[in-house]
Amino acid sequence: MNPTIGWIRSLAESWGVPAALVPLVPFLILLVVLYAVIGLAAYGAKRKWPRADKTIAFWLFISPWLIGFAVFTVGPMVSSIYVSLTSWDLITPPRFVGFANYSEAFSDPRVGQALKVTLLYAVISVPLQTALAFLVALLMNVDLPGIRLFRTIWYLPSLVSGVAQMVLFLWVFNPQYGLANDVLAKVGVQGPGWFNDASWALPTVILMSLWTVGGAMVIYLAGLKDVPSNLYEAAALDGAGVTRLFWHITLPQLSPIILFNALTGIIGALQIFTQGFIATGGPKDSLLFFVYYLYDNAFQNFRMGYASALAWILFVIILALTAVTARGSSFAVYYESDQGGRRRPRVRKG
Amino acid sequence: MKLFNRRLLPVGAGLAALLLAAGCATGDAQPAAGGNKESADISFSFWGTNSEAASLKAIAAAFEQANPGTKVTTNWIQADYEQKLQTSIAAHTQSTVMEISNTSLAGFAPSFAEQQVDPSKYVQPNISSALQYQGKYYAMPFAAKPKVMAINVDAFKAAGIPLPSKTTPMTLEEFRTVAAKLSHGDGKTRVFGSSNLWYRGWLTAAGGGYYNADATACTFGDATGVATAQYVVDLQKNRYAPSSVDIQGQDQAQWFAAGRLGTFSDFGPWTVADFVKISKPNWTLVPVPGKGFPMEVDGLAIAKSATGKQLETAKKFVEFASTQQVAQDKLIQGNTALGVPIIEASTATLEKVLPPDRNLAAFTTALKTGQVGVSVAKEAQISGDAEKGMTSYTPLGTGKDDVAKILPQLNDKCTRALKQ
Repeated sequence: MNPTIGWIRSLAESWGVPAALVPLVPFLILLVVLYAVIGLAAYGAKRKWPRADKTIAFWLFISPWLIGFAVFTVGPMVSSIYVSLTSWDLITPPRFVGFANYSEAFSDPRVGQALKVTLLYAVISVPLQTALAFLVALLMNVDLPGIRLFRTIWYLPSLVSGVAQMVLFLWVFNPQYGLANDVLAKVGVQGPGWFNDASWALPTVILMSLWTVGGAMVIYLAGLKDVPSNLYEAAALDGAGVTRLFWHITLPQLSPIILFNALTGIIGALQIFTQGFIATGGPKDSLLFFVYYLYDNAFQNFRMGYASALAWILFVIILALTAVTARGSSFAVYYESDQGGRRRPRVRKG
Repeated sequence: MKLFNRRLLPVGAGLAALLLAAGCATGDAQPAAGGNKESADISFSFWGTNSEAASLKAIAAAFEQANPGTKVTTNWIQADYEQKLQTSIAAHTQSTVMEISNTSLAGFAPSFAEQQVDPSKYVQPNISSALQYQGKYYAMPFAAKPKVMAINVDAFKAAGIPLPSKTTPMTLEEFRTVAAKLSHGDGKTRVFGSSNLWYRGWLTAAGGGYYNADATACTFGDATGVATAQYVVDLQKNRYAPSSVDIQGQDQAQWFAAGRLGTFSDFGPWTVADFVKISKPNWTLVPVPGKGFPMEVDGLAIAKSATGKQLETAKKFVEFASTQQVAQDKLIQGNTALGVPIIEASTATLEKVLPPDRNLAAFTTALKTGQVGVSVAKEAQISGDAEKGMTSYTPLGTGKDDVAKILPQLNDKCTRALKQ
């Protein structure tokens, strides 16, 4: 335990603070100190106590998130840069090794395999998920009795956590006792080994990922509900058929949502972990997803430096792919607020 | 708005938060318990199931009772024990006393205090030597986990096979013959003569091992290793034992209870609780064939950073759990056991849990003959990679490649990793 925190705790104990509340005392004191620092910074900047300043109110309201972001996101990120330059097993002190972890990563065949598996998963699953979610949203947008029940049924699987999903599908795709092979056997087909077969494991995970398209479907549905009906009416009056309505109104109107789902889908796909973890990398590393390999190095092999280097490599890859997707798709995405290449001002002038 | 333009405030807030985070993250190493070096209170981390945790909490309570004025705060880590232990060591928040197995000792030794262990206090010398690393003791033993084999007595009688000796193990060839005779039926109702065969266990039974005696080379790819792998593969291929795919998601103890297994070879002290419920088929315990499976020895380590009264209390606690009958008897809770007691006075405690015809005395026999492997610093990584290769590429798992080709390759890779 940190000596300062230990000292505050023993001080609280000597004050007779109930044992259950003792851990809270250092936290509250540190919080008060932190806000005092912020207040002093504000005072230093304004040369007076900023009582009626809206900007100060803004910073004070946003500060819980800001502090959380700095302490739990920026702090660990900065720390992991340093760790990635060391060799550290958590037991003995970290040893500075420069860029050795990065150069090892570039010559590690398992990094190549992990990248191949992860990118393959992203390249196949994201378009499939996007297309299926869009298709289902179109179906769920039809005004029929009981449609809300269908929407709920489609959305429900998204509420199941990753581990539970994987355990469920391990059963479904169990080669001996699973539902999938039982059904296939009934139509005279001998089912594959699914997760137990190196050539089937990744397709099985991709197939499994389609079970949870409900989350994206809800976003598409919200977008579909938002398309102005007068656009359809005007096009229909001009003689547009269903295909033209879809191609020239629905699709362009939903293009920002498709981009959003594709971007979040790519980021999520590149960070896939649970499936690889539960299947322990799959046969012949067929499910060696990058984040699972990173975890394996950090918490199975206790190579924190190498794992941190892998984390930064993944960060750069995700950043690059996101930037390429966002930039590359700009010609295909229609924004209502765009007017002849100029964005509509957010605040009306005058 | 000037304040916003200066951008001093967010930078200041961010810096303050970072400094606070940095301040919280560093500091002098101290055991977590109490935070006060002059306090005699200690903390104790351990893993296990509900009943195993009950055993260890009972030992801690017995120690407090025997030593008035001392307090042992228990820290039951239910999952990912080694990961959490390692991260707590990195954060200097580790407990004063930590449970550790002989297989994991080497990796953690740098953060444990050296201990003085008297081998004569235990039923056999293997028990204390299991917790030595580079000639020094880094933990004091308190429980052993030898393996025995359950046999379906009804199935043996129905097949006209004489029951195996209760004290002398079968040879591997005798076991193969028995497994063949006990196997019958087809499809999902097939009865297997043996439960799934754990390669590392059968390798030890055959006289081999993963590493050589001084842990400088891997040996599972040698002639014994390949022959044992072929033995396992043959038993699976002939359907005398289920494969890893057959048992995926299945509980083999339930298979045994349903009469689908003639023998159940991976039977540890904690398995007793599952088998107590099985009255039909009739069953009893016999030694594992050959030289038996590797025996795990669990010990209690003291944090290297413990000092003053905490260190004194920790030493007393470890000695108490390891050598006092009142503590050793508490390894058995109801009809389950965390492990086999390691002092002579307590060995009979486990045997009395069930009637003599179940032969729990087989554990005592296994304890005295148990094979203890060497401790390797990067055990999880090295053996994990080797096992991953075996299960991926060979019929020991879901692969199809020849064990005679793959095992020597994996063995070479393993030896290289060992030398790094």
